[in-house]
Amino acid sequence: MNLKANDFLTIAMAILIGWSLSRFFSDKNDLLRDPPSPVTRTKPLIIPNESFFGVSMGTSEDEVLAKLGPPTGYITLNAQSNAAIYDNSKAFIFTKGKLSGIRIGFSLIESKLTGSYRNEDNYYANQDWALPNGITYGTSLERIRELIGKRLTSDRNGPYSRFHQKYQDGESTIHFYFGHRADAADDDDSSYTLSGFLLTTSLE
Amino acid sequence: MKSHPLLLLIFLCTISAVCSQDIRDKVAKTRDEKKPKLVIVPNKSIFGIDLGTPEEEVFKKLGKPEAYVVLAPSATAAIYKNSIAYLFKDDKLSGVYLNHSIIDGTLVGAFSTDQETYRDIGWKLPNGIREDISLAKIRKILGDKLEDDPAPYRKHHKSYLDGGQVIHLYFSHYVDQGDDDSAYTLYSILIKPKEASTPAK
Repeated sequence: MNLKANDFLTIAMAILIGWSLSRFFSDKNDLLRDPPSPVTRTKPLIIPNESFFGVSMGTSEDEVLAKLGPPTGYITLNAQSNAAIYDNSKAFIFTKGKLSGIRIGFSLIESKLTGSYRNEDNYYANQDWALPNGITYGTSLERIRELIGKRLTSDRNGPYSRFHQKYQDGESTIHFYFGHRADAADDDDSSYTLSGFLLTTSLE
Repeated sequence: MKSHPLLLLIFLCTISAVCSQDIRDKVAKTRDEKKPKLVIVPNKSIFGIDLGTPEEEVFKKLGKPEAYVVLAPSATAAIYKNSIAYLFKDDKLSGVYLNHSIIDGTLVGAFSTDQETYRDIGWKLPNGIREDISLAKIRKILGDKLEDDPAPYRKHHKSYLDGGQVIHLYFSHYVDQGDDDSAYTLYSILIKPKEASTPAK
């Protein structure tokens, strides 16, 4: 079989077009494919008296910022304490320049201000944390009572006491803040779920 | 001992001057007399500081803020008294945000008992809009300029354009007073350059 130069050119063009089409549909398939399912993984841990998200308590402020990168916000809390804010949901608290506490919550800087500049689409993902005993965002007050027992106390009396509970663990005071399902009874501990967290140390 | 007439005269004059002071002169004539006039003039100035003033100069006037936030690559906010956020674009004053509490109250409250806010001072716009004014009165002031938020709670947020700035108004709803405009009162305001804002229609 004699092939002329034009035949080679035609074959080359056909191969090129075929390859391009396959790439095109391959890309489209990528778009149509289901997003990857959430990977089951261990939640970043807050270990009272030890570390927050792998950063040891007592680490110098400079070292923490070098490890985590520049914060999006920085606050002077009082003459001795500062806080560095990340993702508008985590505040690393420093006392006398050393890591001493952590606050987790929604919109640590008012969302009307921050939300008008950026889309905080990782709103709930930012609540990805846990204590070693399994307490995490969304844990019910009922379950926390089971885990902490009588050490759990409140500064308030009556139904509002359930919105804020705390306990002492060594040098750390651990505060839990709860949301309440509006259609549930005020005294139903299972209807209060953990929405915010604060750990401070007596060094402060 | 001989008395010195000149010394005696000075002594008497001093006593006289002290005694002639009226204690009532020590206080302001009205409660607002000596308070800073916290007027925000959209497109011009915020509490007497011109828009466009470099961040450094603002800090020289006001002192360093208690909090500083990076809002976007070229947008920052300096927060004072946990209730006033001066907004900067490219390090120049570009707007302001006022709210009862800007930084998380749980965090601030755990470390500080300072509760002073802009409520203690008062603020207003030249058109008469001020804190606690009702939506009904704002409608009279702004008329058709006032835009609705398309969100379900549309009476809680309104906005309007004023030159190059968009002004967002946030309202509290006093449910026991019904649902008409007089039951909504202004509690927060955000003024920022139009191009960096959620556009008002």
